[in-house]
Parts: sequence; C-alpha cells; structure tokens
Amino acid sequence: MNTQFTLREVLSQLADEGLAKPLELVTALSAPAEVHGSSLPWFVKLFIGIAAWIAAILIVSFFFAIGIIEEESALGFGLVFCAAAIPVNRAGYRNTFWIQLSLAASLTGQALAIIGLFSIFDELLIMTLLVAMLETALILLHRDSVLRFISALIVVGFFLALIFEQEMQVSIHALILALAAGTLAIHLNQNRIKLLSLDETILPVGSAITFSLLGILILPLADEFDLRWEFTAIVLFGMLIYLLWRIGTDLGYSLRNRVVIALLVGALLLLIPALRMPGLLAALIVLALGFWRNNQGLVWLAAIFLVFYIWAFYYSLEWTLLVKSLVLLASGLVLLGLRFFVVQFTANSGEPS
Amino acid sequence: MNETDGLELPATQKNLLQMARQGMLDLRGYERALKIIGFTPNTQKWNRFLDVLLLVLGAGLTVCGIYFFFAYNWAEMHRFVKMGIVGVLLLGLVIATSRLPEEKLPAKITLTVAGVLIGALLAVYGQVYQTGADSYKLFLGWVILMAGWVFVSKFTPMWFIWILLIDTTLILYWDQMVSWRSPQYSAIQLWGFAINGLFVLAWELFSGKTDWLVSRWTPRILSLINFYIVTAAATIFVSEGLDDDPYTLATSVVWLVFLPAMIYVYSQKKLDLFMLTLSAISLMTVFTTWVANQLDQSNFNNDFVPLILGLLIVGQTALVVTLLLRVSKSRKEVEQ
Repeated sequence: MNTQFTLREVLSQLADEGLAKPLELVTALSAPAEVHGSSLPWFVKLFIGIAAWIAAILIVSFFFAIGIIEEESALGFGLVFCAAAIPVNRAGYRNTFWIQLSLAASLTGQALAIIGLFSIFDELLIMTLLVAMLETALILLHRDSVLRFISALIVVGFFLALIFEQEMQVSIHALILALAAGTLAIHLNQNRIKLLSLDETILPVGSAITFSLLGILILPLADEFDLRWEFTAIVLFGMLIYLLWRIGTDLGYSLRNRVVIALLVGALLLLIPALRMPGLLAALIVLALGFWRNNQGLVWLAAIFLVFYIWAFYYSLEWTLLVKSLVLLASGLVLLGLRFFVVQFTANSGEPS
Repeated sequence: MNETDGLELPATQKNLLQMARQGMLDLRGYERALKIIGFTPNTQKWNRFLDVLLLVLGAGLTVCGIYFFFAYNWAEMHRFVKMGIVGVLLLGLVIATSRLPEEKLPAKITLTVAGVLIGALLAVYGQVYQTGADSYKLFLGWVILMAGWVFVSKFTPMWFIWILLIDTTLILYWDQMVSWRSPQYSAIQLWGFAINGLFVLAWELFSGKTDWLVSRWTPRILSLINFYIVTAAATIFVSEGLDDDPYTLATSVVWLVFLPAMIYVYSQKKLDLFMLTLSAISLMTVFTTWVANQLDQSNFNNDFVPLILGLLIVGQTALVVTLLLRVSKSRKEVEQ
C-alpha cells in the first residue's frame, strides 16, 4: 500500500473527480475512537481465544467439582455468567485484564448454558434455536471480536449437528450455500459496513462464516456421505463468476476483454474436477475476496485450506489414486495454461504484469 | 489537532475511514480513495496476483498429481519406464529453469519443483531396487542432492522445504538408529534445536543484507518448532524432575537462556510480535505447569486447583497482551 499520499493530496484528487467536497469546506479530522486491542494481529487474537477457552473449561470443571453447579442448574448459572460478562467488558474496554476476564466469564457461561440445555431438553431443534438466540444476543452486546467469532462458530456448529441428527443431509447444501452467500455479502460490502461503524460486530462474524464454509467443504472428501455435490459446486461456480464480474467491473474490464474471457474459460474447465471437490471453488472465492479487500487473514486461510484439502483428497476412497492423479494433473495444467494466456494477453495489451 | 495538521496526516486506510465516518467522504469517495492509495489492488496488482496464483496453484496441483501417480500401484510398469518418466520430468524442469530469467518467479518455481522431484526419483529408485535401506537415507540423499540448487535459488520457500527435509532426516535417523531405551534418545531435542536455531540465526543475520530474505514466516515457523522443543522439555522437567535424563535437563537449561534472549532480541532489536507471543506462551505453559505441580504436591484442596489455574491463565493472558501492545507502541514511536 502506498502511504506517500497525504489526506490533503487524496482529498484534492477526489474533489477534482467530484467525489469529495472542496478542501476549503473540509473540517478538521478528529482522532478515531479505537477499541482496545483492535489492532492486535491475528495470532495474538488466536492466542487470546485459546487461553480464554482453557480458562473457561477449568473454571467450569471447578464449579462442577465442588457441586455448586449441577446439570439442572447449569443453564441459570450460565446465563448469569454471560450477562455479568457484558458490563465487565463494556466498563473495562480499555483494560486488557477486564477484557480477558469478561471473555473467559462469557465462554464459561456459554459452556454452562449449553450443558444445562442438554440436560433440560431432548430436542436438538429447540436447543439449536435457543443457542442461536443466546449467541446472537452476545454478538450484539459483548464487544469482543474473539467472542463474536466463537459465537458465530457455535451457531453454525449447532445447525450442522441438527442436520446430522435429523438425518437431513441434503440440507447441508443449503447450509453451505448460505455460508457462501454470507461470505460474499459481508466481504463485498465490507467498505459499507466499515462506514456504518458495524465492522466490529459484523466482520468477526463474517470471518467465522468463511471459516465454517471451508471447514464444512471438507465433508465431500469423506466417504461416509452419499451425497451428490454437483449442485453445490455449480452454485459455488455461479458465485465465483459473479465475483469475477464484480472485480472486472471495478477494474473497468468488459466481458469482451481477453483476460476476462481466459479466466471464465479457466473457471469453466476447473468446474469439472470441482464437481466432486467443491472446496476448490470456495477456496478460490475466499482467496479472490481476501486479495480484493486487502485481508491477509482470508488469503492465508484459503491458502492453508487448499494445502489441507489436497492432502485430505489423497485419503478419499471414492476415486482410485490414478483417477485422482489425472484430475490433479489436468487441473494443474489448466491453470498453468491459463497463466500462459493471461501473461500473453496482458503483455500484448501493454498492461504491466 | 488543527485543520491543517489533520489533512497533512498520511492517507492510510484508517484515516480515510475516519474521514468517511465523519461525513467528509461518501462510500464512492472512500472506495475511490482506497484505490488511489493502493489499498484496493489496481490492474497491475491483480495481474501480478493472477500470475503468482496460477503459477503456484498450477505447479502445486501438477506436482501433487505426479506424486499421486507414483502412489498408484505401478507393479505392471517396467522399472525403467517409472524412473524414466521422473527423470525426463526432472530434466525438463531443469532445462526450463535454465532458459527462464533467473530472477523471475517462474524460474524459481520450476527449480523448486525440480528439487521436490528429486525425492520422487529417489522414492521410485528405492521402490524398484529394494535394498532394505533405512528411510532416513532417502531423505539424507534428497537433502544432499538438493543442496546445490537451494543455495543458488535465492528463494525462501525452497530453503524452507530443504530445512524441513533436514529436520525429517534427523527425526527418521534418530527413530531408526537410536534405541528409545538408550540414554542418548532424548538428545534429539538438542540436535533439532541446534539445527533450526542455526538457520534462524543465519536468517536474521543475513536478512538485513540480502534482499530476497524478506519472509518472516520461515524463521517464525522454525522458531515455533524450537519453542515446542524447549518448552516441552522444561514442562516435563518442572512436573517430573527427570534426574536421570541429562538431555531433557540440558534442554530445559537451554530454555532458560533461549527465552530471555528471544524476548530481548524481538522486543528491543527487531520487533516481531509473533516471536514475542511464542515466548509468552512458552513461559505461561511452564509457569502454569509448575504452579499446578506445586499445588498437587502440597496439601492444598485439589477441588480449587482448576479455579486457581483458570484465573492464573486469565491474568497471564491479560498481562501478555498489555505488554505486547506496549512494546508494539513504543517501537513504532521509536521508528517514527
């Protein structure tokens, strides 16, 4: 990113393009209110999340060990912990200790609440709906990106468990497509979300949705599921094409541009192996979104997923190793061929590569 | 801050967002501003991204396809055909590398793939000529044969693969040649630490003077392995004592020196929050284990131990995050 520009220079250029007020009408810029720890890198947030979970498990086990909490009363105690964590979080938002304590308390409360729900209700459907309500409330009220990420994951996890428990495996397609649509919607509208100051609430949820999407797409590689994944692959393919169209439009490319045509043809060829490996398309969607929105986390998530996906593909029993090797070779050669054409087209058009 | 100061601030994404939130820019203006400063990639960056993505993904899938192909049962194929195919591929990649501009990414990728294919060739050779040799010899041969290309490649991913091959060779050698009952078995900790540590040291010393040694993730991942080694040893030592295992004791002593050194270097000399986070996790792990062990050995009521440990973890995490933020802020102020 080029930080050599000053705000004055950027505003001046925008004013010339009619996208900003003239400089003389610009008021002073006040300092943004920064949420404590919002600038922490992802690995520190991962460390905080794992540490909070370990602390929550230890504290919950303590309450069970001394008999203060039993399964029947766990729900009540859990809700009290969750509720108490919210004002602690809000009051101590500049103090790391209180933020950690509120995170651990909330995770403890959620764990207790879920244990209590399991002891009270037999129907997973009711539990799923109640957990979804609880986690939604926490996402809205508890100002912590790690907690919002975990809460969103819990909701997805319960819906997935419900699908398996009800033996509605076909609904997995709907869940995957909902997660993919959510990923696209949130990250495509990331700038609008930031302008509305909703990023602290929505973007961690978006990250969880993306993480869940890629995680669930490992299922096609498991041999226990007798599902047809072609439908999921075709809809994900449609989403990829839509994303390519949005990016192309943003760059001023038309559908007649040779690079765009080459990419569309390449995506179509990749659809063939992706009919059985829809995770490939989802990873490409996440990769493109991550690069477009300058989100290194998404880019690395997609890259790591691709490596893991190919490794897991090795152990899938549906195809023989010979067929798998030919699929991978063909996919690899398609991409290398596509690269050749893209480099040629950009060189011929005089665009720098 | 007066009006003039505000507009002379660098046009970062955060400052532009603040302007937009204050109503000075609408959504279109904000998105256009992000393009101007290069936060949103332009055509040039997209072309470069596609170039790298298609090359890496295409080469990666192709190499995986080749490996899957060799994993398939080739009992029916003649041995010379098997080795010939890999040999021809290897030769083709070497020729391609020699013809491509050596400073460009495609040449480096083809050389890396060729290096990886050396392993495939050795594996096929070992499959065809069943000598009963230990598997560590395959990896040792791979390391030796690949070394020359690694040194000329000036390509950090290739170096990283090579270092991992060295680690794998070491683990396999120890597993196959040193009895687990032998007192020397746990010496692998020190050897592994020494090898990875030397590479990290060399990386950090030369990275300031070498333009292609820009990746932070290679030394970070190697340091992660080293932290695992020394932390595991120190944790075992504080919980079990291990008077009869001098190598684990020695590795624990290494931890005592390594940890403060890492904290000093990566907070005062070369700010790296990842290394500092690893240091903090290591210290927390050993300290919490020690506390748990002390509580277990004392007459303290065991029912309260989980609560104490849970609160201890919360407190330590809060302290670590506060310190990381403080170090990060103070170093940025120094750099400004």
